[in-house]
Amino acid sequence: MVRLHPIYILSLFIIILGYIACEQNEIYNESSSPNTCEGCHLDRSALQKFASEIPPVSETEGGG
Amino acid sequence: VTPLEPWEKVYIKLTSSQVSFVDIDNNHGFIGCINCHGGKEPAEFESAHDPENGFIRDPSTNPNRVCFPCHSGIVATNNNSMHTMAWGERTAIVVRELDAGNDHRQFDQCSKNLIEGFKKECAGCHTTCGQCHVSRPKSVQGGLINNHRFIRKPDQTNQCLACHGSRIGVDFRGELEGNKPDLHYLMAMKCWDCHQENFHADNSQFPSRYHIPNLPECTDCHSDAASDNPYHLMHWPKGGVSAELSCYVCHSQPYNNCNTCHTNGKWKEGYELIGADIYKGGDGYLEYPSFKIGYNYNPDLFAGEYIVVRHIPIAKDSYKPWGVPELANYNARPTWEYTSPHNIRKITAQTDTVGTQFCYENCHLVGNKSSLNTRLYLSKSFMDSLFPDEIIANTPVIVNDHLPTSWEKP
Repeated sequence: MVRLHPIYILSLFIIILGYIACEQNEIYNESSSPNTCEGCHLDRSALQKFASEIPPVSETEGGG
Repeated sequence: VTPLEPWEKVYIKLTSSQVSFVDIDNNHGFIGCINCHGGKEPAEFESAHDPENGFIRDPSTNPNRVCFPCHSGIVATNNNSMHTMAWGERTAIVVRELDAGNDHRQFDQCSKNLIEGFKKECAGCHTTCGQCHVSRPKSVQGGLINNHRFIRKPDQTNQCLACHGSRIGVDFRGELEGNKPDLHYLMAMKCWDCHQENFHADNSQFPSRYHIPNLPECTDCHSDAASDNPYHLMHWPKGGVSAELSCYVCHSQPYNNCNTCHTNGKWKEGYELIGADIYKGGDGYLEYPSFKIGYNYNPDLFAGEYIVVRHIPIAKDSYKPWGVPELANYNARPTWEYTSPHNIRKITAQTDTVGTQFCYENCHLVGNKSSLNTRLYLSKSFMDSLFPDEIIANTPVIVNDHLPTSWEKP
């Protein structure tokens, strides 16, 4: 019977976790494409880039 | 309301381990942006936000499409709520156009220009689901307040007081010069601590917000105050020995009043000196602090023989920009109307009797301070001097014919 040293098991576990993390990161990066809603609205710098195209508005307290 | 840069208004900030809007709002996140907002995704900026692609900034302007599928009960009644339909505003317009005895139910009988103008300029702010539960309201040009997370209870500063600012917010926080904050504000009470009426209820049968059942009353908390002191015994609004007074007559401070509001976006222009030629229409919108005791012209609706009244920003030609030169029955409704200022204090200029000889010295029109006290009342001389064109409309509110005969006539 092959007996794995705990350090191998731990290493394997870390590799699997890393893979999952990378996968998720990849999905996030895809959804963060500037051409998607979230790609812009979750990204401060992307929004600031478009700031000149967002209609400027005044700020007051309104109504009664 | 703190000003926001345009980009800040639409920025959804992720924190710690969040990677998408779903992590912020689990329920609404799964719906997907374009399923509510329309538009196109993926796409460049212009086509993503192009109305021709169905983009809509505030999807809840059509709640039956986007909110109803999950919130059917609330949407169904809210379509006829006071906030959505502004029944009270409609009533005010109807009365001044068609005459007293009418109310919001006759709104469709008003001129086409009034109806169209109201729909375009008033109904746009009164109000959508999103303006209370997602973003700042349209009246302050929007802006997400909690990263687009839908909130059950509106944000007092950014939502409630963003609309109810110049009259409620300014009063509540004590921002008028010489005023102190409302006691309830200092106790960190929020709007909904008192206002527990159903905001989504179908109110189509009520001519104004003051007709809604279960409105807050002072006695909800101060139920045992009627016999607290001689003043209460004497003037309690329901059952006082002498003249019954609205609680506000003694316990409110000066509050904002408005003159000559005109439609077409000419809202708040800031303070100006009273006395300028701004009472006869034109462009002279004005806000100014004042405190006036008037006669209760609607005892079925308001408690107390005397109430405090606020000048509301209506002029004969307020709707001129809509193509309505003058309101046909401008005199059918007071321009000094009942008000419930949100600047309550136990000790006010009226109740502070330190150094006085008599308990009534700060209010009654007798004795040494009589002439000084006339400033507190909506009197004929006051109206003659500043609002001569509005005397007929305010005849039921002017106090002269109702004050004790022994008093100096103001």
